[in-house]
Amino acid sequence: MRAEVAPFAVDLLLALAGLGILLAIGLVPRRPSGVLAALGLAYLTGASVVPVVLIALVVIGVPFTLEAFGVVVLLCIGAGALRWRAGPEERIASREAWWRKPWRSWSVDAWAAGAFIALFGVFAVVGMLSAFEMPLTVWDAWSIWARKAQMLTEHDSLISGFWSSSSYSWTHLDYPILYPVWEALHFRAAGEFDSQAILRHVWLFLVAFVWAVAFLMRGRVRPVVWAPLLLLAAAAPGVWQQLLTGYADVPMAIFACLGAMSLALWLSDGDGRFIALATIMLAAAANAKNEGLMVVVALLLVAGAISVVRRFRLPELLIASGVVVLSILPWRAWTSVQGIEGDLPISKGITDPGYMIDRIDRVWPAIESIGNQLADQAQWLQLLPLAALVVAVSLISAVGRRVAIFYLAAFAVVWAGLVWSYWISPNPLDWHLGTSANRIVSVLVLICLAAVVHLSGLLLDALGQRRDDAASD
Amino acid sequence: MRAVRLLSEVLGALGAGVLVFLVVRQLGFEGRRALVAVALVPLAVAGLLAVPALRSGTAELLDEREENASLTAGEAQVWPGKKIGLAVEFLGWVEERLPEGDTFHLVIGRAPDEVFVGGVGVRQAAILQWGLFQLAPHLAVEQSPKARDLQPGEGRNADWIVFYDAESADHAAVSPAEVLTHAPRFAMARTNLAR
Repeated sequence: MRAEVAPFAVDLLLALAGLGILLAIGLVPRRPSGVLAALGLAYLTGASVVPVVLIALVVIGVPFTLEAFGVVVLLCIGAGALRWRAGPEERIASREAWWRKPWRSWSVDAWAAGAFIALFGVFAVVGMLSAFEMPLTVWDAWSIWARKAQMLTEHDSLISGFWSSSSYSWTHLDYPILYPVWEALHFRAAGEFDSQAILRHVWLFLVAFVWAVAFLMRGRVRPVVWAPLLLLAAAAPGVWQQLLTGYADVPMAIFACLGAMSLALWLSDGDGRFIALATIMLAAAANAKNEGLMVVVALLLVAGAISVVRRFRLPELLIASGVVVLSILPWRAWTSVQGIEGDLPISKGITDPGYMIDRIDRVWPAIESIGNQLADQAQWLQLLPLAALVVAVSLISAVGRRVAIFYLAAFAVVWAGLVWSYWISPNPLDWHLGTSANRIVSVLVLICLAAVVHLSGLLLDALGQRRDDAASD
Repeated sequence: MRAVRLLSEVLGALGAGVLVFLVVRQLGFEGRRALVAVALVPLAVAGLLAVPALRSGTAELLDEREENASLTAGEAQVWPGKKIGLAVEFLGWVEERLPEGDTFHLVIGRAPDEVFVGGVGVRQAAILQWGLFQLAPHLAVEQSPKARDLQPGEGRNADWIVFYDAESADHAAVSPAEVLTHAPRFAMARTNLAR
């Protein structure tokens, strides 16, 4: 019974911790319906903040235990509770809820949201039922991620016999450990390491993700816009099939996508709450995978460039970047002290032109391979071409132009960063591309999704406004 | 060719946008409004593609559930190793005999048909990675990921040597009398140092 139920209590506690953080930031309306709407984003916020803090703690020698997890969760909830008590409950102007009205009077948005809940709800339930039976079969899922989670389940510290042992160097000991920490919390709660019991929790990432995007875009993007687009993303085999492999790529891409979306909202609205959320999501992405760190650097560079050119709130961005750096510092410092080195000769890739020129023949195959994967519309359901369309329309029409520039540049710089990592990698290129290109493009596709949802919303809002203007004239 | 395909897909989407723009203009909408109306294209495409994709995804998930339903909890734990043809029963046998907290060293026999990628034998890497996974939380000691000949005394500092498709008689760190055999070339032995 414990093995079945307790891991879901971990998910609930992560959501409550995230809710506390979001309340403290001021991103959740202080009313029950607002809290319910924010639960998806809250789960992902908790899944970011709590493991990042636990990584810092275990690195400085605090035992990795459920007690430590509980204290971190309580602190997060406490931060939210203080903020909740500080102000009165927000109430929506007495407007009758749509579900209480006769169905004939429901708006197109109400129908769209209802259809989304019904269709995605069935898919989510079936996915969960399937994940309950699914063994962990795909290579890195057990060989890298679950193995590390098992070590964190059996031992409450970073034991040298594993984490800095040359016997396990092939498990990429330098990889950041947010995902194994998140898995280990579930195993510890279950009281045992059961590799078949993790994918049901991994599936929650997808549910929380679509929920989070809908919540983040509320008031800017109408349900009639986000509902079909989020259904498309959830149904894309490249997203849900990869998620159910138990690899860290899609969770990292989800954090990066929400980080990109928050940065875009900050760039368009100047609302400091979004840069705070971006910081949390980018910290998670950087702590989930090495590629995640590269993606985060790319997103911050693009946001920074726009911020400098537009003279737009640069200090806020610098603080956010500093916090992201701080979040990855404990793990990087620990691996450095232990003498653990990664595969990629990063310093050579930045400072050694000779090394780069010698390997120039790796560039085009890398570009081509990533392009090949992105062209596989059986996996990605046209998200990239649709993103190209809305970005082009935004740039030409000047509706949401700054947001469009951000997404376009983010996509290009992340692609360039991925090519760079293949360029400098010492691994045989064919093998490296063959075993990773189909996975690493998920972050590019989710940046496309962010662009499509955000920009379609802005464009159709502009269309509606112009119609209203015409009517009032 | 697929790189061209990506370009053609993007151009196709832009072309669809141009068509919508022209049609909306024909309907009498002014230029900028007609342009913004192009954003209806993603909604239409999403509406057309999402439902069939959800339906096939749901069917696939149900099929997978049915396929996995027959696995027992024990089988599910060793399924990846079994799928790649490894001797999971032997490793399970070893696991039962390793006292709590004891370390081991895995000796993997060489195969003449071993395929090497980047200096690492594919078969050996599979045995090594799965073997160390199935035997966790016991820790491996003095383990190299690369295929190589046995070194004298290799694994001496481990509590146990595990022989996976390898001859135990050749190993300097164990006494022949102490070898526990599961099957020919599949055995384990306590090291001289540990004893």
